[in-house]
Amino acid sequence: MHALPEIQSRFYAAMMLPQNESALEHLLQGQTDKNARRIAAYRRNVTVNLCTALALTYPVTQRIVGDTFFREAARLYASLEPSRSGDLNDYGANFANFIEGYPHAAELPYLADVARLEWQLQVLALAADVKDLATTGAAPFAALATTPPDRYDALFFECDSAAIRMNSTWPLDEIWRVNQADFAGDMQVDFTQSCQLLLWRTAHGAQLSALSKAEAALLDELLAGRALAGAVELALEQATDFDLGACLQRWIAAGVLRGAFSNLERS
Amino acid sequence: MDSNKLPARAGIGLRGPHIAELLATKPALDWLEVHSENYFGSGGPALRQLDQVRADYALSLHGVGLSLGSTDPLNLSHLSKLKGLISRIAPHSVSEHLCWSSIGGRFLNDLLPLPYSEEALDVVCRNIQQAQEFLGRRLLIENVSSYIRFGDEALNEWDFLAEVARRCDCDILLDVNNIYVSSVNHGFDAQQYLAAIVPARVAEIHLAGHESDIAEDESDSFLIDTHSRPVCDEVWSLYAKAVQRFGPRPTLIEWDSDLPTLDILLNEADKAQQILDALTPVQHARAA
Repeated sequence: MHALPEIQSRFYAAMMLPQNESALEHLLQGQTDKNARRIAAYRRNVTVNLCTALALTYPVTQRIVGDTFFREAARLYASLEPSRSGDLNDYGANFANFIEGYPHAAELPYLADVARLEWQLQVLALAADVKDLATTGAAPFAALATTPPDRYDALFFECDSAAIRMNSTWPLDEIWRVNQADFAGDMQVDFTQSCQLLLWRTAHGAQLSALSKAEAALLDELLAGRALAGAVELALEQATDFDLGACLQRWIAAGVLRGAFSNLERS
Repeated sequence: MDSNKLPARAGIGLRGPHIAELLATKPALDWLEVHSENYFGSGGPALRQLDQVRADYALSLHGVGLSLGSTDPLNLSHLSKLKGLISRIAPHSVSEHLCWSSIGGRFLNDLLPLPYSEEALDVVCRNIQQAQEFLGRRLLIENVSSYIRFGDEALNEWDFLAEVARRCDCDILLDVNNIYVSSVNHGFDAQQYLAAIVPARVAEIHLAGHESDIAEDESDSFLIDTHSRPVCDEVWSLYAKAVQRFGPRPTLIEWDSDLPTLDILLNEADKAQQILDALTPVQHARAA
């Protein structure tokens, strides 16, 4: 009998390419033609498992291109990008990059960004939970009330580290919205629009919100741990009528901004 | 339900699409099983739902991705996630498969057959022992179905399985459907398989449905373990023989593709429960 690593290598190769089957068949009991049918069943299972995992992670991408197109793409992806984990939630991290170079998707130039969005939503859905704000006791935003606006250079925010900022030259939020399974309205999307997105979460799972350019500029700074003064300055560069209070309220209520602290108190 | 053993009654494999209904209706079931890897995230709604399920039901964590039969070193990151999940969920049982799925760090994410050789026995036993040591608990190891056999195998599957359990001091999760599927595919006697297994080692039984891959030449046809259908009559009857031999054991209905409604799954579990109930008086009589 051949050594186990040799048997498993040949099995792996036969799963990847039908041409490699005969090297495996030589190791098996029974008739070659019977075994070919059975090896094909294993290959089908392996492919279906990977394609199903990909479809679970990328439902909107699949919806846009249809089942047949998606299965073809998934099959090719599986042959190019081996799974590196026994946990299928880890599978498919590079699917967006694959789509970007996939000739059959060239007519859908926004598709790679849709896939990028879906991967980030999955990352967000599996991220570690944060402690419930209500249970942390002290008023987490006291520093926001006590710091005068001229000292916003010393005011910082504690943010949900799982929140993800994403920009696209395509209207991803609209594309995503009209391709939800339960969407029944007008499918028309203005593809000339770009978008700034925040991916965040509630108790029910990952959420997706479109941001104004000013809001995006502010959140980029706060999520990176930089002071409110510089963040406001960048936001005002995007929109002179930027409403700081409304923006902070929105993201405090969403739990993305979880607390404020001032360097002044500490010194 | 705080004893750390699964009750010797019928349960179902809980899959994503049924969870909300289960939590809303809380059907009278003694235990449930989930796939460990589906809960390997660090947090999020899926894990919180599992906490809710666990609050009402005894739970078994059933792994599909550890690849205990690989010559690759055991994947410590995978094991660490499993250990984290065990400590969060406090399951009544933790199981994995007697199979392999990775070579050289590449995964096929399927339950692939091992050659029943002394070498494979050494490899899989070393991995099971390491996993049990790392997790600090005994594992249940499940026999898989297979469509091919390797040449010059030194052992029968049943002797291989029994020897794994003996050497690793692990328990056996006996999948009766897998025994049946493999017995048809390889032409062995399923009852001989049952006879080779020490009853005290059998800690759980699985039941599921399979399909036929039908060839033009009927002798080329074989059975595929699809978990996509009701348990067939032949498997029910083999199950009845298994519980006669092993005694009442926690018994799980597995259904993974073409999922039916929760009701149909619960009905399947009822059938298993009736077989367990029919046996129990005899067991009591023997004990008396």
